[in-house]
Amino acid sequence: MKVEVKKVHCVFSWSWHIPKNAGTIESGLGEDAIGDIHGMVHEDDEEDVCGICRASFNRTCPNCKFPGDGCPLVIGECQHNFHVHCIYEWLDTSTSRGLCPMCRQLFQLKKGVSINDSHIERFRELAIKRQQEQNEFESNLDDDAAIARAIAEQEDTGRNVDNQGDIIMDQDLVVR
Amino acid sequence: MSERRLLKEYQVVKKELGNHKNIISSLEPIDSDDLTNWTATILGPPNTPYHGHSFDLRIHLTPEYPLKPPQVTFSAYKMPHCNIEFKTGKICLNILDNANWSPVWNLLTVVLAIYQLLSDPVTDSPLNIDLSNILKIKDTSAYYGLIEYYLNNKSDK
Ligand SMILES: [Zn+2]
Ligand SMILES: [Zn+2]
Ligand SMILES: [Zn+2]
Repeated sequence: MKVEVKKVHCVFSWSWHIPKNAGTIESGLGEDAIGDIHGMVHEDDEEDVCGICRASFNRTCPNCKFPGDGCPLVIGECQHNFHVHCIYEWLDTSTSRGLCPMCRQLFQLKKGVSINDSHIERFRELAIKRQQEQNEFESNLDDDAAIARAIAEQEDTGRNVDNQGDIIMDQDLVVR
Repeated sequence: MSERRLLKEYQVVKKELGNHKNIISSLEPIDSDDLTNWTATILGPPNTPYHGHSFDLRIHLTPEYPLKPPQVTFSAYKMPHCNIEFKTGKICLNILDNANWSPVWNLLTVVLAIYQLLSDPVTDSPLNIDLSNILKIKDTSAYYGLIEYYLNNKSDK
């Protein structure tokens, strides 16, 4: 028998190589209620899906058309993977507080992983933004605590405190 | 996020709802063309004064979902519970706050968490002061009595 090849159709398939232990790393947060709920989310997923958009890593995030290089994955230091667009969008909200949605640790791109390389700068900028908000939030807490202390003190000593938390002394000096 | 994320949500719910038959008797979009507004019915957990009753939830998914939590309420004047405002059905549950929400959760996990809240009322953050005070002093019979009173008279409102 003689076989003559007339035409060749090339077909290929691909998938992201996702480390086996990805997503199963224990978080340092212990078995709180959030951990329990979190466990339920993934109990019977057959394929690896992005926790944020729930689409397979081999497909795109909801905003993209072309999988692969057009909508790549990133890996966190905590070993959690996401579509770069999904995790970026999450970290860009101030409610994220810069935390990984899976394990609630600070989300940082894992170092020494080539697929992360082109995103490192953008993620660093986001992290700085979140950190600033967090600092502001904490200093507001401190201010509130200071005002509460000043008011308590005023009740003790009869000194005046205005609503900025400044203590108005008898001599009309304002102490901040 | 987008229609595609909501469709995923719909598929997950359809696939997994059967695993929670004893907890959630229904969870579906109000109108199948609009996946942003849902209703759910949960059953009262055993060993609580809610056992034998069922409770309806309204769930609204904002355009920011899942980056922001869903908005979930019980029907007004239907749910006597420490952490639920009776007049409005508003729920006080940490995972429904912006600060504690995570986008990896979905409608099922939210509804299951609310079911859990029925078994585990939290007296620290009450929206129903009367019930919370009774629970704090551990007056179980008054607690059961008051809840049953509310539940049995709820159709009056
Ligand atoms: Zn995604
Ligand atoms: Zn994308
Ligand atoms: Zn993580």
